Amino acid sequence: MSAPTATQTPVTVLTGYLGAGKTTLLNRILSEQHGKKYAVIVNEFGEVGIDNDLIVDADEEVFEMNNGCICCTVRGDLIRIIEGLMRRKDRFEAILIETTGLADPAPVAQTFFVDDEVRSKTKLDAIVTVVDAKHLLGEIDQAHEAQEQLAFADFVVLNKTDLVSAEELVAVEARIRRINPTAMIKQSTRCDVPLDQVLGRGGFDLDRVLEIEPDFLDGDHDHEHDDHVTSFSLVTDRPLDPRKFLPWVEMITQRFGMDMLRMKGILAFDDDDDRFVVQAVHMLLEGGHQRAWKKNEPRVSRLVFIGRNLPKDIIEDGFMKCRVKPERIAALSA
Amino acid sequence: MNRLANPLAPRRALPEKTRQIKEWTRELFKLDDAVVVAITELACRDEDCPDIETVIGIMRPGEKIETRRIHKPIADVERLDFAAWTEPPS
Repeated sequence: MSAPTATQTPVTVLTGYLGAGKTTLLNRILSEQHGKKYAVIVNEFGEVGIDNDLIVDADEEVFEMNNGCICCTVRGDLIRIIEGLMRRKDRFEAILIETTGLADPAPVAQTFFVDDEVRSKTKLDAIVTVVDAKHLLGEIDQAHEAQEQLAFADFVVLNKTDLVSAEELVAVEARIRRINPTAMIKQSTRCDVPLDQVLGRGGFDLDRVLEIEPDFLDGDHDHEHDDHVTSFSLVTDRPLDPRKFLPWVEMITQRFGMDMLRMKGILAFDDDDDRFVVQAVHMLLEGGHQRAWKKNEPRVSRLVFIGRNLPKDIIEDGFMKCRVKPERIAALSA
Repeated sequence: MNRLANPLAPRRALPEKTRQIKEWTRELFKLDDAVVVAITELACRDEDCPDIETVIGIMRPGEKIETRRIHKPIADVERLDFAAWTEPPS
């Protein structure tokens, strides 16, 4: 999840529930002049209206490296296809993967962090999820796949906005935010979003963690609802003790990783002038120091969790215990 | 400021070592170019999983992926670790 190197080919994953408009966006990316040639991995050849000999069919072969552990499950077909594509690396600059409307994004994302060959040759740039504004609210409570696709998203294309009223649009956007407070959301009709905003996002770069910081991350914003996937954020302006926080976040990831779809955070450690950032996909957890805190920037620690039935009370209690004691702050400022 | 070692630092890929392990695997199982070999170092945090292991996926076209495991990190895998694999898995 570190910054890409010159030799790594960026990969964008397009997800979205059935009929949301993924193929429309894919065809736009393939047909418009943006200076980049893409190799494309799709599920349905026939849906792509562009003649491109770098389109490859995927068959969603799941590779469980440890029996049943979702965190050790990747997509075998993608490993095979990428190995083949890399023999023709001179013919494209980036890779697009279109998943089926029912695909689980976790094994797709994990393929890019687990397999060594794939990891060294490619770099997961972002997960882009296309949403049908007209049908989302009616479908999402029953469609766990749709919720998980939103949970994993770095960028949400809120499509078909011309088919709903302004009030409905507010409700749809609020529903998306409840699932994923950190993704960028762009409204569109026929997926007419600026492509330079969709591509090259660096959604998994540690130095861009929580680039989107919506206002509601600044407080207690949990909601009472019956969603399959929910999110919450933890915030404190008291510095964290890294000797407590680092083992705690590893323990939390181990204990709740199966249900933790994504986690992102920016943290202020005691006696440390640089921001520390963390990011996880299930149990794949990485973190490191980033830039220095700016002079007038509040040194606030934020952790955002997106997952299935995560026990906020337990996680919050542990997080707050990682703060340095008030006496220590008083001693430092004396 | 006295920084601790970062246990969350991204793991470095070892492309040379990975290539070597693939060569050993291809040699032992007499695999042709149509077969893809995937090498992964797993540090599964699940309680039932070993702390760290190297998982080798042998991906023959049209067949179920065959998995072999060595309970050590990629960097420590040796040719000798393949010695026990004279028979295919049951």
